[in-house]
Amino acid sequence: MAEFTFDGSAITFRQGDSIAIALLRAGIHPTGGGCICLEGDCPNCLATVDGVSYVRTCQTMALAGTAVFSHPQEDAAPPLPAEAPGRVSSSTLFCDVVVIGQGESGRAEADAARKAGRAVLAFDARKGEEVIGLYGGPTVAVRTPLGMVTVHAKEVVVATGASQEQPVGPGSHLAGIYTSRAAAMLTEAGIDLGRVVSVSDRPIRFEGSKRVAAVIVANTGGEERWEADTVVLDLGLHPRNSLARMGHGLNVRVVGDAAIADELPTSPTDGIVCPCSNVSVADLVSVWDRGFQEMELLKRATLAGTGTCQGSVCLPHLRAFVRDRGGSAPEPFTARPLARQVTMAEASASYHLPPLRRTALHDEHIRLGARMDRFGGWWRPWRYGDVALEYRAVRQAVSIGDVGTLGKFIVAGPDATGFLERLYPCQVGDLKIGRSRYALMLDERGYVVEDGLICRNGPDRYLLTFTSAGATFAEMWMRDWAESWRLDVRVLDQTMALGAINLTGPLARELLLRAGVTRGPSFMGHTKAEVAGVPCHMFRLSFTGEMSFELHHPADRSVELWRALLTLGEDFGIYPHGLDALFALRLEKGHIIIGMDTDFDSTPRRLDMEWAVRMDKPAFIGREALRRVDALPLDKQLVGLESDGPCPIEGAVLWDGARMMGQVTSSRFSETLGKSVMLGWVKLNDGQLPDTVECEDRQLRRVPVPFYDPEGARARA
Amino acid sequence: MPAPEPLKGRRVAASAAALDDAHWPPGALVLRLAPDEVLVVGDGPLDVDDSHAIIEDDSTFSSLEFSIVDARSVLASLCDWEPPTAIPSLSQGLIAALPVKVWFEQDRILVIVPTPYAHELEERLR
Repeated sequence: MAEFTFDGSAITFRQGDSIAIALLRAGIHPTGGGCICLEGDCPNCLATVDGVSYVRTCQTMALAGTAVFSHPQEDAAPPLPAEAPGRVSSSTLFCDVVVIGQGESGRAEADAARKAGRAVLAFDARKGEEVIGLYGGPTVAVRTPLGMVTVHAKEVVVATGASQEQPVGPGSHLAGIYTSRAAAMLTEAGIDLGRVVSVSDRPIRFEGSKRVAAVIVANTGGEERWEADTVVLDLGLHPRNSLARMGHGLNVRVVGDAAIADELPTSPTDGIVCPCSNVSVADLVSVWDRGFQEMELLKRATLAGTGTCQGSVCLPHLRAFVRDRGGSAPEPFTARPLARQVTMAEASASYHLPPLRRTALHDEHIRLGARMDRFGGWWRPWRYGDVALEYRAVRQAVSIGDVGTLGKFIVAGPDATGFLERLYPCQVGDLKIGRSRYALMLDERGYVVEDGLICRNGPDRYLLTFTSAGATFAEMWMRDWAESWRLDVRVLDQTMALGAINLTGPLARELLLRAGVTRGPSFMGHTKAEVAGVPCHMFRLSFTGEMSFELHHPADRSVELWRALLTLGEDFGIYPHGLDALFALRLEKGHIIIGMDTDFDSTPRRLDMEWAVRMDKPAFIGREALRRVDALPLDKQLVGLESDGPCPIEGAVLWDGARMMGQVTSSRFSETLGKSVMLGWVKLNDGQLPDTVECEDRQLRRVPVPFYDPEGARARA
Repeated sequence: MPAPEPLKGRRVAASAAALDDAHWPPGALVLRLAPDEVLVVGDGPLDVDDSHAIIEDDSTFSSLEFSIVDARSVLASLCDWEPPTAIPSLSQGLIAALPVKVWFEQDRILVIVPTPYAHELEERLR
């Protein structure tokens, strides 16, 4: 005979036994006591099976070698599995009809639908196909022995039958009590039940120590005591309709016993009502007397109905309890997924983490020893090693950085200029072909939501750049507004088609010369050129504060261009820079990063960037909001701060005595300036910005930005 | 599972009417990504009657080909949408939470993914 183990002891079983039946044959109650149904309705056969807890052993076939452990007694939770669970497969299916339950009515429904030529999927909990939830669609989530299945159906038929009522009363926790269907299954399995007393009226109490020894029932004018080894109960049926209730408003039909009217029992007076959460009648009375006098409130106050069986056992008794006190039978409480327990592996079977993008230079960064980090939905190099080397290469020689993550769009069409004039708060129409302009993007409330460059390369053709994290939003924003305004424009997203390398540093021009570019664009200009044989669109700008050329090129040529620049610049001391160095460099120039230095309510005035807004334009998104809020006194502003000591952490609170003044948004120690420099939000005092604020027990001075090269001579060189 | 291969082509953004009436190179794979956008894979002249059309060489995507038999299991296990019944046709949606375009033909499908996500597709199909 094959064996599995239960709490370390060998249990023999017969072919076809469930774990519960095998245990009962061995004289073991899986949980120590309580009425057993063997139909998956009650929590009285739960155990930990091969590391998975809360398994209904009556629905789980006994297999050789399986390790079964009883759950801890009292209220302790079973232990978590020692090993991480394996991956669970998932699949999505489509059909006309899903039939849940394969009893008599379920089989009839499935047969009829098939005969009508409809595609049918039928699930049978007795085969381990447990429906765990109904969702919009209708969509049916099923846990099966082969993995998780999601079915999109046109119709769902619930044929889940009815459960037999469980007893509530003194002694109902004893072993040796079965529903009549369970007793029939045990008899069929050849298990001797000993002296059996069958009861069809609700017993007054059960007697015994651990195991039932007698059942007390009412008779005419008194009580009657029956001694028994086994008490078999046939107390009535209650529809298994939790899935039907879950499918409210969906195309769900309920058939067979699942659709019968629920005849409630008499209200319980003593004993455990909810064995899952160990809620007694006394608990219900207690919370009722404190005002929790509705089904949903009783459930929340006691947790009755929230356990493993999701109300299969307790719901009729809870409703009877409320009916007898409230005057009418209440509706059942809301049924929600999950109807059955699932493991974390099962719950996450069809879930995938949000993906992160790699630039075309990803492997180059790894090869150069970069520590990669997540930023704006991309993997980006944070540092290649010594951040000071990266910083110095930019300030003193030449460096390259991967900015292929920037949003890159072409906008063209007869209405392109008018469209951008309304999209941006700055002037667009006066931009000459071959020139670029930094631009903020505002929402209707006048808050800054994005920034980037507007580059004109034709009478009605523009290239736009956006932040790495903001490109997807920017595309949606542009397309929505173009459609709303009914403007004739074309938009092409080139973000992932183009790579971009930022060549920056005082020797950048010399390096370009070596790469074959004899004449690059002037500051804020752009032009097309071949760089080391790679066709590029060159943009002259500066985020680092040094002379910079942003080289946009086909992404499949990125590696070729990157390597060529590193080779050509070797004797210049070229060294690539990552985000860590870039953030320090741009901070010295006082350049903001959207989402890091800006808040959800950052207007251009609060950012001290009113120079980027032309209120004399007739219309742009956010104009009316700015007109109103600009009439109000300024309340806070993003300012430059410096201190001689070490820099505070980003997010550190700024104080003026006991008054909280704001917080630091960006902070670095500047090697070039020999002091800490910061950007931070500061409140105004009586319309004045304070000259100093305190932070982390030291004083910070408010200073104008940029901190570095305020005239911009190096960037424009 | 093979690795996704770069899919070089041209992308055209133009008025919907111009794209409706455009002439594409014979034998080219022409994917209408949106009413105003087309991806053309294949050499040859493009005839799009829109003076403001944006036509750019494109290396945004990589692709992976499956036999229709393999495709069924891939789609069933990683997609939450119903494959089209009309062939050939283009579907756009998520496979394993990745934004993809799927070109369905009689005996094969082409899963087209932006190259920055290609490594994720490879991992998630494994």
